[in-house]
Amino acid sequence: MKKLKLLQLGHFFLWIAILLSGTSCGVKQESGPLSNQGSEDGAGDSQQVIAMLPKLINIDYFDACNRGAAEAASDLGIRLIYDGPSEPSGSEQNKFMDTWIRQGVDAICIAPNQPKTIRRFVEKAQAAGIKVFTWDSDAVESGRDLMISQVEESELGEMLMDEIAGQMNGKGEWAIAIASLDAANLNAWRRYAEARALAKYPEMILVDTVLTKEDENYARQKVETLLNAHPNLKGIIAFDSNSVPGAAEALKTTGKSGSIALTGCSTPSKMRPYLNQNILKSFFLWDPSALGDLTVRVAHAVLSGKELKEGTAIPGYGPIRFSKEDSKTVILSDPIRFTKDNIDEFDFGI
Amino acid sequence: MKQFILPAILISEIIFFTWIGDYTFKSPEDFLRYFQSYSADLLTQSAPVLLAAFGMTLILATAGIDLSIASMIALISCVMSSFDGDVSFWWKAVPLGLLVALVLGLTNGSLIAVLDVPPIIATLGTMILFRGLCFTVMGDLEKSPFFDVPGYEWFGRFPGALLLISLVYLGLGAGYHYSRKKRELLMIGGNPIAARYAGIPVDRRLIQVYVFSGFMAFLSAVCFTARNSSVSGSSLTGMELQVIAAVILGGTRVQGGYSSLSGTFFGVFIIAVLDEGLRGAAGWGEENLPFKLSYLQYVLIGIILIGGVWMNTHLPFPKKNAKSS
Repeated sequence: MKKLKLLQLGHFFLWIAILLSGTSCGVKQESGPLSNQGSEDGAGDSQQVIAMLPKLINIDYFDACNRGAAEAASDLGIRLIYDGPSEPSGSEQNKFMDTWIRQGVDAICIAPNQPKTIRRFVEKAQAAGIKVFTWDSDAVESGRDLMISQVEESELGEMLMDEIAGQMNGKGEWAIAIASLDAANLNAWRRYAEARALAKYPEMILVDTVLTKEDENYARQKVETLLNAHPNLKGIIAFDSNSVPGAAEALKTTGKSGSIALTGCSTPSKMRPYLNQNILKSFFLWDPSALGDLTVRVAHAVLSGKELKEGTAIPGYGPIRFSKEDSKTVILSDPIRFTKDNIDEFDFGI
Repeated sequence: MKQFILPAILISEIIFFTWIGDYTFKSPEDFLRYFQSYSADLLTQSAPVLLAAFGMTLILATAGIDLSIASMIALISCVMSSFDGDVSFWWKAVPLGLLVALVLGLTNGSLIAVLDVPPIIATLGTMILFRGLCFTVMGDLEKSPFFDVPGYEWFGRFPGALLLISLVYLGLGAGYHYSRKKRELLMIGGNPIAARYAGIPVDRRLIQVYVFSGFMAFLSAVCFTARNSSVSGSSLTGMELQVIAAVILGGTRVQGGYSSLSGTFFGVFIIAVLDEGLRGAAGWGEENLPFKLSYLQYVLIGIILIGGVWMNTHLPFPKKNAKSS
């Protein structure tokens, strides 16, 4: 019996010994062989490795980003690792950062779930000589090298506001449906939209903001409650891809689709039926595969030692555009306005 | 031979994943350097699960279960995160976090021991309750005062996490193995009525076990927040299954009556190495598999869990060991 216990303790000390032998001389991070021999000279003949971390895998939006990124990578002749957690969790994303820092990739492009949690890992990566980019959603405080943004945040926010104001003739009660007050990109759009309303549409009154938790069905319930609570409501802006179809479904089931204007950001495949049934007139989006494509190309250009400025042409893309608000944010394009007439011209695969 | 199964699985996993991993070693020094950061990453990632799993081992020994463990850790972190990130954090947030942890443990323990609610129901209830409290405390925000607290980060790094784990393992191992407590807990698990007749204060012991698990949840919360430096209401969702799976894989019986702390230790690392290995071998998967390698994660954990537990219970083991089961 005693022998057994000693043996068990022995296992543990063996482990401590292994671990201690590892760290006693101090863990020093360097760029490892994933980036292959002689990557010091930047581009050249060695293959660059870019790791791309979406908020989560297996959803349409990020799958489309993945397709664009993979095409750009094979076009540029670099290696792309595209992987991420199966749930939108910040601490799971940190584990991927750890793995890639250890393997010594050249760049990490992350769409952070929780912008504040990656700070220490961005520092760790940069100390190891790895460039860190954010895409889709930003983490300004983390000290990332560049952000690749799908749209100019102020532009999208103001466009949404102008759209709904146009449909409401610039007056009446309106409300917001948004996934959470946490997601950096959605809330930046929301703030710009609210600011626009205050500045330009004095007769429009914001009556409520409902949180829909990235869930279409939940969004429908919340919007139905909203409609009951505010009978004079004339317009809704829904900021994320689940809130818009949820709100549209709520308008459809309550039969208020003619009297209440709705717009927002969502995907063509989700919104096509509602557009065709005239439940809403328009919505906005960008091309997610183009976002993946641009992210990889910008990362490649930076790794190749290119100085990026407004209008710098990067291989296979053309001149890039920087944000007016933040000099370290690259903008993909103007948001695309989808209506019944043009929706069939776009095939994003989502 | 039984006690070599888990170490054998662990070591073969490490060898296998090093082999298929996206990393070719250039020199012995390179190999050493890689394993330094590998073990550091592995330990800091697993520390929160491991600490919680130690508490869970004792609970399973009494034939109980604690489904609320992840919500509990999240709630403790959320409460601590509502303080400012400066030196005062140490004497405001940390003691309050500890107090909250003990109260949450006491709640679980009292429900089970005093009100006689079956553990799985009681902790299912508190799992939902504590998660609800997380959102009440946090709203929809993500807070990160932990980043600025001087010295706090140390617990999220290799030496700090290792120190905590070693202290708990050695302290708990000695206190548990060499005192009557272990016998008493196992007896409560095996046959609570007999335990009562044998003069064991069953209710008091049960409450003690759940309060202890609360304390472990506190240490776990410290490791988690020190490493990730932020927390939000939905942090750690689903972690309870990871904890329970690791403890069961370690050979502890869900029906109570047999427990193994070193088994838990290996259980946690077997799952962590698998997880890390799949992340690190994406390139191998791209070349050899028609699907993403990381999709296999849950499949493999399921197989290892069932296989490991089967081997634990069905392979021959020394007769002396049988006495403790």
